[in-house]
Amino acid sequence: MLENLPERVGIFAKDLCGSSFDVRDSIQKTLDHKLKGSFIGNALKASPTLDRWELEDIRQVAQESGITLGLQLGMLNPYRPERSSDALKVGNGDLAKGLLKLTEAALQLGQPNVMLVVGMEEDRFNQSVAWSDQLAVVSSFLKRLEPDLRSLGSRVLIKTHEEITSWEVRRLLEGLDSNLFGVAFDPVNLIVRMEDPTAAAERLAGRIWQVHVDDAHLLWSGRGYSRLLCPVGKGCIDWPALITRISTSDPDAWYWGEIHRAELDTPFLKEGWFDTHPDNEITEVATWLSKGMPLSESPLSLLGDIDERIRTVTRYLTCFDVGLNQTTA
Amino acid sequence: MRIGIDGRKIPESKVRGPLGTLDHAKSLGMEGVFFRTILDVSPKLDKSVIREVRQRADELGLYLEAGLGKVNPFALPETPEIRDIGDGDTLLGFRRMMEACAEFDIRELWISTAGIKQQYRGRFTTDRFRTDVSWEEQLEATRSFMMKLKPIALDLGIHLNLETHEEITTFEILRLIEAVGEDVVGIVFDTGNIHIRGEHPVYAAKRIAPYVRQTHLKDAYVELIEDGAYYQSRMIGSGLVDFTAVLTELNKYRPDLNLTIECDPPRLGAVKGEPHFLELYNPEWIAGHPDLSREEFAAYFELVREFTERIRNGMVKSWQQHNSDTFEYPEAIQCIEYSKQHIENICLELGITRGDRAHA
Repeated sequence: MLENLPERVGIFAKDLCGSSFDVRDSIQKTLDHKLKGSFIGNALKASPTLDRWELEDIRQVAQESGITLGLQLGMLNPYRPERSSDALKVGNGDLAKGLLKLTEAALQLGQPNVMLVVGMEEDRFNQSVAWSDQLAVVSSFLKRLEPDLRSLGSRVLIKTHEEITSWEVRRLLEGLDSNLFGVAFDPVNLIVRMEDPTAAAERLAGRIWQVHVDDAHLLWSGRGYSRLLCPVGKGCIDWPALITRISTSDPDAWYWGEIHRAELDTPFLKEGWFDTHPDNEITEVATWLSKGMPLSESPLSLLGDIDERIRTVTRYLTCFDVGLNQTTA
Repeated sequence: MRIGIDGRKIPESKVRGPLGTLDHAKSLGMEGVFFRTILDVSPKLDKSVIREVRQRADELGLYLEAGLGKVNPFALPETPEIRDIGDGDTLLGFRRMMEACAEFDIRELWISTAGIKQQYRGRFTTDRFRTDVSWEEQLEATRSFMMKLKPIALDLGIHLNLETHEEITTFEILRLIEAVGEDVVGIVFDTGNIHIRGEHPVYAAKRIAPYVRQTHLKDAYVELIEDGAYYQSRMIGSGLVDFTAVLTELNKYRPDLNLTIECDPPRLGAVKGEPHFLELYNPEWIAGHPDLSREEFAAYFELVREFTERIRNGMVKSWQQHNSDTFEYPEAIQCIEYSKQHIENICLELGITRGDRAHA
């Protein structure tokens, strides 16, 4: 059994309540499941106009229920502004301004830490703009947010999303104020980038403020591995080891159940593949290979049984039954 | 190219002796014999014996190859016969062997860097991971000793051909060639051993083809298991080596290369043990292969993965089945004949000039 079980545990509201949930309902449902947090998305979900009274009202409902709301800003890749439509709308065309308004609204909802996703997997392989150039622009953009974040007292958590590696997140963070930026650690994405999540947690130790709990197998695809999502405890993520590691370096981190839905491949036999992952050393690639199921058949769907995944992650976060991992194939 | 056989592993080599082995090889349709060391031909370097062997090989139209021994001073004590032949002077022992070879026009000579330690599991099966002396130190000592052999080799017109033995990588052999000189150093390409070092056979062939002067041809069985893989040598044509691709590379540089089949000898009732366990995923094992690229490791993984699927589908005999099969004289002969036929077919397919015509 794990020592020092995480106490800050919540779940994505879209997964618990369906995509068109009402925030108040999600608070109640989260409470019903004996969880302590509901990740609602961006603040517009609480108030489409970011009305301060409406936000305050929801904050009070959450607070009275003992529920912490999880919040995010959306995506930020200046080369793909169309993905940041909410922030652009809120900022009246000024992306930075919009992001800061969403950050401020999150604060009004009681959440100083807001998650940010850089992009999507296709960005990494964009032939028009090198991934490193995209990251450089993201870095300078985030740098410009620092004075406002400082005066708000908020922190932006960069997610280890499908497109980015932990080395790249760490380099982004190295150029930013550690009081204002941290990590949303999402291991089922790291395995798509050929990382060993435990090694990645080591690399990002001390900067992790939230952890995304889900699980997956790595199945043979014919040209590499495919990520087959599965109930937590049944895949290749060594959750007991990860929680032990992260609870030592980042004891205040929140653990959010998130049911991922992207169907992702890691076609490492493709010519030039490794050139697009310059940081992944062979030792970790070997560890990563060992976590896969190289003799498996390719599945028709990579999403697994979503309902079962939701039930399992909810149960896991309330009892951290490490025995779940022993069923790993 | 000519197709011959390993003079140590051909069945009954000990009882038949070198002359009988030549006759035996000829009767099996072989075109040459590659004795491992000249001391296998004559333990005392008796020139009359070596002369007789040379004459018999010539009469039978067989190529005659041989070798010296280990050139890694940290491993040399395991073969005391080399120091003995120099009356206590190891370098003199090498000189005498080299002179004896050269006198009978055996000038392509096998050497290696260590011996296998099958009693130990995993990475300690080879001397690469010795903890008393590092592999880098062994390589440096090897280089240094080879520099002492260099003037003798130059004088006698000899090439010292390092085997792609279990413990060494092709990258390291290439560096030794660079350091000592390609005028005196070449390669004995063992097409099985390279798998133990995580090398893809075709990648390895492409790297070393210009320097390959002798061969030990065998096939490989590599099966993925939970914490790594199992390696076992297999009959040519029954493993995972793409000999068509390998021979294509070799033929580019040396169309007159002798292709020596290194077959499994009859077991003589002995029980074959667990295959060589490869710690492919162990970070220490990976760290011990600093030249291995991600690309080649991935290609190797896929080669082995696909082969493991064939094992699982019953298309390839598992190591347990293989070990439980009888493998005595008749099976060993069948294995040699099948191997020869497999190589013959590939040579035909590739248009490789066969036999003495390649030497015209």
